[in-house]
Amino acid sequence: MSTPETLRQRRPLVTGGKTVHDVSLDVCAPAERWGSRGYWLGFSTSQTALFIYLCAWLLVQTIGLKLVGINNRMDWGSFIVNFVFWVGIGHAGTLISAILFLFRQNWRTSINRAAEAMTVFAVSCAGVFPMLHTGRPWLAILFVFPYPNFRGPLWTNFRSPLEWDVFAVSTYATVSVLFWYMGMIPDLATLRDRAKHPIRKYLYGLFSMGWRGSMRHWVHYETAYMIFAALATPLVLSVHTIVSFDFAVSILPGWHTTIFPPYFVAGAIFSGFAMVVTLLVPARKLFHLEDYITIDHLEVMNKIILLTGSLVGFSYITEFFIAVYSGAPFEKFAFLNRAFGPFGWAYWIMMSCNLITPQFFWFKKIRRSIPLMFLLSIFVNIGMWFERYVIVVTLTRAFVMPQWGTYVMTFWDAVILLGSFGQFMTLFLLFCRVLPVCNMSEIKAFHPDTLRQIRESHDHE
Amino acid sequence: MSDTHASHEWKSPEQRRGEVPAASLNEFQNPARLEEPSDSARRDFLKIMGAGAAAVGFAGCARPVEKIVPEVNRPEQFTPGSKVWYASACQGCADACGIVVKTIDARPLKLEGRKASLVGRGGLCSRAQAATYDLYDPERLQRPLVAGEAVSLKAFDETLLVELRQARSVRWLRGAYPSEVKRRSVEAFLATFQDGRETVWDPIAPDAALKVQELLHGSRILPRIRLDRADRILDLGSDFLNLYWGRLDLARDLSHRRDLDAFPEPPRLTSVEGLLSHTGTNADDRIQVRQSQVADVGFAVASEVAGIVGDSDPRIRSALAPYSIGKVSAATGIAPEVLKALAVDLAKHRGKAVALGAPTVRAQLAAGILNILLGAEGTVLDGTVSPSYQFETGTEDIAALVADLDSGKVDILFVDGVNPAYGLPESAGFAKAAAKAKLVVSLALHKDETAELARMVLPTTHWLEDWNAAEPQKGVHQLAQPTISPLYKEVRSSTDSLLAWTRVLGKPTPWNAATAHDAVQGHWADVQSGAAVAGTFEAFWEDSLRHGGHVSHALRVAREGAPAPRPLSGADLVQAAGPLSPPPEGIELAPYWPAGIREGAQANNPHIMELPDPVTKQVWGNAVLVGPARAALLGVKTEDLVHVKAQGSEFDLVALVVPGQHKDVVGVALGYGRTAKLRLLDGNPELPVWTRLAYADDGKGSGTKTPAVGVDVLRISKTETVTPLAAEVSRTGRDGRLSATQLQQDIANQAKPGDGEWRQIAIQVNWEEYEKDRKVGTPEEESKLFTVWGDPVYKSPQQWGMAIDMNRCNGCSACVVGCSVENNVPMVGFEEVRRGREMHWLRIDRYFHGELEEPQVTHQIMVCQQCDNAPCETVCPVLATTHSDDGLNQMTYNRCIGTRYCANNCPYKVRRFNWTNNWKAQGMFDLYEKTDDGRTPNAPLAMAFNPEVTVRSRGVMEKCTFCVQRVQNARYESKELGLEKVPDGEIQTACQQSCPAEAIVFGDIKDPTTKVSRLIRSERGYKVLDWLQVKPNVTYLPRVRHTADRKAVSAAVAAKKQHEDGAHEAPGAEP
Repeated sequence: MSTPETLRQRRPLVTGGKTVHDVSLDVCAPAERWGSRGYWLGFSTSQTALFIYLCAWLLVQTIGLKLVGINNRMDWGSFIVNFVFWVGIGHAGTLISAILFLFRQNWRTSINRAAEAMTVFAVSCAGVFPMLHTGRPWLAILFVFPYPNFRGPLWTNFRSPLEWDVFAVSTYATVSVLFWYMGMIPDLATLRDRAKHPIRKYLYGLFSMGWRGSMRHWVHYETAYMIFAALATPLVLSVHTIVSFDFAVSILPGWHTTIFPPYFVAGAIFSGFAMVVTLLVPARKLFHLEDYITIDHLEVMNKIILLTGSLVGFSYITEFFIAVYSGAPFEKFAFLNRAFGPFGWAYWIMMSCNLITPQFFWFKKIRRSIPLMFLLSIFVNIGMWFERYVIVVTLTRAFVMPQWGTYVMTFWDAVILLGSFGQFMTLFLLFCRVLPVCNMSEIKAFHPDTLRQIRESHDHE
Repeated sequence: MSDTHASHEWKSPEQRRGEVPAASLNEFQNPARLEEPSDSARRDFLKIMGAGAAAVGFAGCARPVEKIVPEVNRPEQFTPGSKVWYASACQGCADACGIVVKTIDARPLKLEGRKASLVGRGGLCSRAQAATYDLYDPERLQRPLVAGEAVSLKAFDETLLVELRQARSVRWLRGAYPSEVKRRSVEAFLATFQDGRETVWDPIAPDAALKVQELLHGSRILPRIRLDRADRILDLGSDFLNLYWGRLDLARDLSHRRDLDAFPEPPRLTSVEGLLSHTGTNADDRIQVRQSQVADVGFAVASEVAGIVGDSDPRIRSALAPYSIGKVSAATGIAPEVLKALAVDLAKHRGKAVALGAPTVRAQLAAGILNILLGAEGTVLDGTVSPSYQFETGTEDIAALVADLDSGKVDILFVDGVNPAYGLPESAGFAKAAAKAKLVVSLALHKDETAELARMVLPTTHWLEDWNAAEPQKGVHQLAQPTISPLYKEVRSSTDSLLAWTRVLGKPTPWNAATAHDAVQGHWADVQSGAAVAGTFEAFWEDSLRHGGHVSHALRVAREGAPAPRPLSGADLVQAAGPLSPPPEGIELAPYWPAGIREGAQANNPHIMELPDPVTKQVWGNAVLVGPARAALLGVKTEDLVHVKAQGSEFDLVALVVPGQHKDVVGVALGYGRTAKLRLLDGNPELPVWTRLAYADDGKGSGTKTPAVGVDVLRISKTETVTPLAAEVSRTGRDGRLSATQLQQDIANQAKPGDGEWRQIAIQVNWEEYEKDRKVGTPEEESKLFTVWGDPVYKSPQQWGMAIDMNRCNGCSACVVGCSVENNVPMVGFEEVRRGREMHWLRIDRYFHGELEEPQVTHQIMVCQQCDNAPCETVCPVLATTHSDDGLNQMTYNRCIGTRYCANNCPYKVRRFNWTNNWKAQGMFDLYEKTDDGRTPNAPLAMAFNPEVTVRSRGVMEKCTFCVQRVQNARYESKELGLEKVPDGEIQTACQQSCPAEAIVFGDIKDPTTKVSRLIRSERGYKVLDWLQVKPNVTYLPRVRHTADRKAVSAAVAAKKQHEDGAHEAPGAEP
């Protein structure tokens, strides 16, 4: 743990004069009282969207992919865009909980739980797409895993980036879930101890795995947390690198570029942080957590958005420059076509949302303005969706001109895109109501009162 | 079971001696059995239970009861699943090309050109390729109709005979097919009436050519055109690759001459036309002129040629007198230098030049005069030794028939296999006149527009179920035999009907025949005696059946020689040529017969409806074709709805901008807009099949669907259907919808003209440059580049490759249909094609080179390139696409999960994904699906499937396989013969086989002596996108265009531009 001295000068991580006991009261409150009207409104909307989403998938799977806009000129479309978008979103949580943990960034404590939950839900949203975008998902689920069998040489193809994806995403999902769950055990025990209803008590008891808060438990917990953080850290970088290989390993101009892995990772963190801001701004209000997720927390995240956004923008410009400068005519064409071709509008949406939007965060006032940061984070989300869209629609103008085509998303494309937000929000709102939104035990550890106690005990020595 | 004494075999000496073995050794002894309380064994119990359960289950199924009579003894010469080939003759049009029909289990499945046939010579057009889908069309008429009621054949005959016995005046209208059997059968039938007359009519028949031949040479005989002897070809708006008699032979001869390895110089084809026609895309040089002025240009060139060659025939001179180059050039805006240069060039090649005219009298006359002046008669044209008999028709005849009908004196009109109610222009007044006949009897395959007029409708057999004989060229006898017995009981071929009725009426039939088979045999005996073939008739008959016909050796020799030129007859040419009309103003509407659908007879055939037009690439309908200059003037772009007014009639139709089309000409394809109640035409909702294909959405998501069948322009055309009409075209401001396989590139996406050149995909070069450097234009070899992939190692002694000569390919698209029929490729319909989801494994990419106003067109056949380092293979996560030992990139459909990464990663974009269960959506599997009245409306469709190729389901990727089924068959056959390798030429892919131009060559590329290897080594050969290092195995040979003198042409363009600038203020120019 970091030395308390460094934190003395900093603003407190918990404001409003909340005591350590208040932390438990406030964080457990959403799980212990009936949801507000705003909550139920949001939850029922999300559930409706989820229901429509499931129906849309059922229909698309029954009739076939002809219902969506993809065609023989452009074989991937909004499903792949959504997949990459959600996987990207899923990067912030692990980054906050693992990398920032390793770097001893203590401000992470109040947001890491929500961010990790967001990661898990985003990855679950993402995981739907690569499976269901295939022509025969019922076989895909069988064939993509290299289980031992008697079919001789008929196995999976380890040369295919799609196969790498299977491992990358499934590993990431597993580690994220475990990490999230493990970090929650002390808090689940708190909920268990506070629970009055026997079923609640039983369930929280089951999932808190007999946590008693003994020193021995804490030692094991902290060691395991450290190990998981170390495991998850490379995954943050590898998953989106491998997702970028889906494009970079192809031979298509506009896809086949070496800049993709770093650029995808930066973009993923960028979009993930933007999504955290988008979610936490209303959530802290809805669940009265303003004193735990303070404006300072949000400002720090905006700084990261500024950094990663600039990295992404730099990548866009580098990529464009290299393509035009390289003298490779197809590459040059692909990029000029992106900017000035029939899908130029999408390119400029991407550029303005991802390159210009974060630059506003140079200004402290904007960084600390709740409505502005919310608006800007929405723009970043839109921009990052369009980034993937721009990459995928490169397919419409590949090598052979007579097979150039166009891409128009259909009604079902739109329903499934919006429906996936239904899935995400349903899960997230459910999480807010039944699990501790903030990491109580860690907040308590960095609570000003705790720090004072520690300081005093140091002074005594 | 334990009775060891009785067994003949023995296990041990003890057993042999009859000693009971120890119980412990009896390992299969079942103690439970001893305790069985009942006689019924446990297994029996289970069996009965199982059977009972199954019986209960089956009782619930609505599966129809089928009575199957197994064949106890295999019929002779019949092996289930094996192929039997029948030699025959195509009866799809009057050309009567020789074909062979592949049948499996007695089902005709694939038609191929017969190599030895003198007509067609191994190629086959797209229409004939699709013929099996006509045969198995579930909407064929299955029972005769009398006043709309279905009756039996017997009842029909009885009703008809009452009418026949009372009839005095009978007319028989049939299509043009050079069949002596049919002609004489009709003749004998009509002889039984006081006033019986036959009319032969074909909507695309070269009536004008026949008329002009009569005018010039005194006989209505079309010459056989030997295009391989022509060094210079002048196409006066003829679109001969599409419309001329013997068009497959023309295509083959032209392509033969364009073989740059065999001939020192390719011929130069100059097209003079207003629209960009299919032939025009193949021209070396194009001169744009109004369609109505094509003949004027022809006359002007002729007058110049006459001056050069010094022809002194006064009749020709006086006919050409009004057409000096100066005057015509002033009227048309073509620079005089261009016409002069053209005339000089033609005259220089006297005896080796030919002119082919549009199907109007004046254009034909111009061509005819030019041919006389250029000495084509007797060299390129054969009008004496073995001329064409393919057409024997005339528009006057049908006009006379209509007049007859109109007078009300005709008792019975028989319409045999043609559809005048649709195919005749409305001005001809057929429907009104036919109503005045006492009885109209239609002998038809479908309930078409004419059958709807008729009180009695007799369903005929499809021609694949028929006997027939044809003489498409003098002395070339084709024999057509049935390849399947009629699918329905209550149908009969028209020849059979004719003979039966004649006999019932008590009159002699030709050759005393009772059936078409007898009649064909009778005729064949005449052929034998006519050709003086020795031997018994049986032997001759057998031999002819085996070879699909008979041509005497003497004729074969004579056909190769120099025929006698026909003299000029004494007719008045001046009147026919007429004076030079003043330059017309305004826009003219030029109706034309398109390559795929032609006269519209196959409008219920999805393979034809979804065949991309060679020029516009449009499917499922027609459009108003507008040149770029006119489009700019009108302010319309592709997919705008335009309003056309012509001949007092008007219609709205979607516009399609075609580069290289004359400013003042708009074109509309004929053959569309049929009104018959057939499922592809109006999407009759009662009939489940195909309807989804033929519908178009309104594009606004309102859910309303309209049939996508185009607009019928015939109702406003003149009798000479392709005569240009004065028209007004205006913008409606609304959006239309059209479906095309290739639009995005050049119109919707606004690709810049230069976008294609650096890609070096479809390469065309000029002959002058090519002569200097054979490698000109082809990309540099990239094999020296570093690659991480090693050279491929194939275990098989053979590796397959292909060579495609773009100089030979004319883009006719026969290969597209051939491939689809062979490989069970589904058609997907208007809306799906519009979304870019067509399934054709083989496509023909159309490239424009040069300026928008003066483009040059290259057709590039694109199939799977079977790359050695196939990029599709590496990205498939489940190894559904892999490489075979003989170098094929193969698809395992069962393994495919449909990630579609392979299709994304294919630089040639040849992979096709099944976005839905295409065949099922079309009812192709509905063998048992019954309607309420107990019919199975879709039953015969599934018979059209080729059983040698897997039918792909939803969610599966598919692509060209190089016809792997044919490769494997040839390998088995070679193995049976003890050969280590398949001999060269034994394997022909479906596309290669159907190609009339022989542009595709397939074979072993490991063996340097094969034809394909020689072509691959050709200096001009190149591989598309070779630099990607995917190592494709298809070699392309570039298009070498034998352009005329550039200076003259550019001067012409300049002059034309000037002329146009002056004409901008012309009326009708405002949008």
